[in-house]
Amino acid sequence: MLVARGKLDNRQALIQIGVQRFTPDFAIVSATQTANSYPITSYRALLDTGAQRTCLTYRTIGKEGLVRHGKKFIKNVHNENVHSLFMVKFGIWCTDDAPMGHQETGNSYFVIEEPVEVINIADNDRFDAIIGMDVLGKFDFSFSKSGDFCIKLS
Amino acid sequence: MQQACGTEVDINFDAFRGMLPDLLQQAPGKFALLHRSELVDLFDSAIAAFIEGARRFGAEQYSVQEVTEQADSLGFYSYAGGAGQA
Repeated sequence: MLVARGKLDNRQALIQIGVQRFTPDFAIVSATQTANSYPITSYRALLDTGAQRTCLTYRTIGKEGLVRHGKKFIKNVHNENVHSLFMVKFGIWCTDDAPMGHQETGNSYFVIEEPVEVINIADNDRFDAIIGMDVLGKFDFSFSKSGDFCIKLS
Repeated sequence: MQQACGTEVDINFDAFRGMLPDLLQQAPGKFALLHRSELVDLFDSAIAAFIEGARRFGAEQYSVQEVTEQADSLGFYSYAGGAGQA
């Protein structure tokens, strides 16, 4: 089973993800188009169950050359702002959890089948992305009081 | 490149906001495909509208807007401020 594990850092759950611009391939008649170009850049993503939508910082959007396709009102505690929407192929760096007595295998990359529609947020020093409930809700995930957390990807 | 798309997205967004009261009556929750300030079609998902837009008009020549008045929430991150905007 593929899992993304981590340990809380300053009470924040951070994992490594990859994002790439989604460009439809009209040779494939499906909304689930998972072909990727390589190499895939790794970005730090904060798990945030309070966010309804997944977000990327301006810096990440610029690095990946993402192009906006719409706009959306986003609420904060003070008011609402308009943010831009981007369609991306989204993946999570993970390991293959081996059965008892066997060693975990090295790094794997799990690609979410359907493209994810994300919004832009301001840059900051702690992370490059926020994973909201639109993505987290697709998986089982757990925290333990030791500070360890785990997302089961398959 | 992003700037060129931004122009199409911004113009379509302004037009879409004018159409929204009627669309909310006719097709709440659908996704509108727009091109040059005109509503092209309505779809059940953003991805379906996105793919059709790319097929018909080519990259960056269309936009997709959800037919809703509801804003999404960023929860905790909004408290930190500086969530930025378009």
